[in-house]
Amino acid sequence: MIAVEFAKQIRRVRTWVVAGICIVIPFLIGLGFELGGNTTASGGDGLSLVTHQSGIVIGVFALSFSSVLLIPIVFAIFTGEPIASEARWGSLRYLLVRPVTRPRVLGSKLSVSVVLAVSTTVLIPITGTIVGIAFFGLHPIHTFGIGNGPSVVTWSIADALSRLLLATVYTLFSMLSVVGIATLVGVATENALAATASGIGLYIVSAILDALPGLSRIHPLLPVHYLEAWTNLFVPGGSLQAMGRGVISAAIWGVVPLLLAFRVFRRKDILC
Amino acid sequence: MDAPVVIDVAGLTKRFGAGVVAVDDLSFSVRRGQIVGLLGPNGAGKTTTLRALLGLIRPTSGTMAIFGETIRPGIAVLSRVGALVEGPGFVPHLSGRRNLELYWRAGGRALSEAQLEHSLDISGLGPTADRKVKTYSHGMRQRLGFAQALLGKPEVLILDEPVNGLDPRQIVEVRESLLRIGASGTTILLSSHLLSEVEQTCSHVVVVHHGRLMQAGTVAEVTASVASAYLEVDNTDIAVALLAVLPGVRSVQPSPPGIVVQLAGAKRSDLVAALVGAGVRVDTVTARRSLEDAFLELVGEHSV
Repeated sequence: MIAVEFAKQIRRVRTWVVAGICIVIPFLIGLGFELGGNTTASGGDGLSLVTHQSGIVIGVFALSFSSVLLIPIVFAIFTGEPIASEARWGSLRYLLVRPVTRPRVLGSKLSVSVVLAVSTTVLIPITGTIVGIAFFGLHPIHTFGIGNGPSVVTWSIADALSRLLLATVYTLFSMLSVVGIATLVGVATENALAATASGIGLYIVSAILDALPGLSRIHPLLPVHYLEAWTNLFVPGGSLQAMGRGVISAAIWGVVPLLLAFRVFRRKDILC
Repeated sequence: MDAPVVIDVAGLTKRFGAGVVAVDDLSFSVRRGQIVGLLGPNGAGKTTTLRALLGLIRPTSGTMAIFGETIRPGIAVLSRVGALVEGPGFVPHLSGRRNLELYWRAGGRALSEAQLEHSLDISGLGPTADRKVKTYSHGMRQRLGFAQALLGKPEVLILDEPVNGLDPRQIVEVRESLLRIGASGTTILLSSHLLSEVEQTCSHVVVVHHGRLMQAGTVAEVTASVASAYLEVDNTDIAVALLAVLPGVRSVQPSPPGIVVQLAGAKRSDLVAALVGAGVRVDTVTARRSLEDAFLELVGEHSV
């Protein structure tokens, strides 16, 4: 069933368009940094690095610039759609009477969608790093400490690359919340647009709430709150505590709607 | 003598939302080798019944079984059933052939068991089978849907309006396929709002209206349950008025150029005698015992 689902999705134009975008954007970021001259660029939550010092920096910023919008959109598109598309095509009912049990239909569609979303978005830091190396070479990263930490910290190439890898894994794991909501709405409404929009909408709404100082009490509950916690990996002496909380937050925001989605799908009358 | 029951529907009721009752306490059974037509006007609950039989919707009450196994979503017995429900549905960016392959493989069985070429032959799609489904006409999709239902020679076929959207030649082809498949021992339950279709294809008929069972039996039994007459006379108005009050007449309807009379005890000779006695000249008297009359009467009686 997973092979069947993969065969259906891999041939979709959408899959390849998204992969193309995930390659082009880091390329544009690299080009922008090259044209912008050697300067210090900053991203969310204290990220601040000299751009031309190493290609790895481009990989870091490619991830930073896309983690708040592009990556959530890609996950929302891939995971909101499968049940909804199949319902729209009218082929869902035939899959179910084949028969394939409902948890299996949803499970395999979800797995394939997540695999596709991960394998396209992972291209962003990878392409960024490769483009960066082409422009600026592969060097260690130096960064300037803030507060009480040491004034200049140097990360070897291996260290910097493994930090970028960890940051990527963290960012993709954080997408569980998008996956959960998009899947739930996709299953409940059989409407791909509504599902994708809910996944993205969840991020936009919670980003706005997260920016309102008056609501600081609920900020830790919002799915975007810890999204950029990984930038601490590139801040000398940065605490990883926020990342730990981010993992828990993403797991809860992901697992609860996913369980609900399976429950809704199992009980639903298929009228499409 | 009776073949074993293959499909058994007992007291099926399906309510949607607040008050909409799509199917109301419907019971019928289909025995092995029968070709049964589920007949009723649009909105009679035919599709809802078939969906429930396939485990796509949960009945509000009642039970259904295929080969003795109670139907629930995704139950394994459905692998012995080929289905076409509420039109075909395919992945548009893949070819017809690829769609059938993936459909078959989703069930976890080897492609060699599907007899794919045999099904495609019956569909008559020819080289079109290798084109993307999004380029297909409605009729082509319908034929591909029929081919999909036939994959792997299922023991039971459940078909919802199988000739919808086909041209007359294709309708004849599908009908011949169904008769051939039925003759080879496959049990077929098909729904239709077309009486002529059921009359020409089916051995048995289940008439439903407003979700309720009106009548069930062989086509001949259901037809015979209603006696009627068709008359052509020189003065239709007088004849209608006269016959309407005649004892043993259930209903009188003008059906230009004549009149259709549903009988409830009266004989056709009684009608002629009454008309001639009143000075109305009778040109033609025939028995109309078609399923259409039976259907109209069964449905007409209970509508409104």
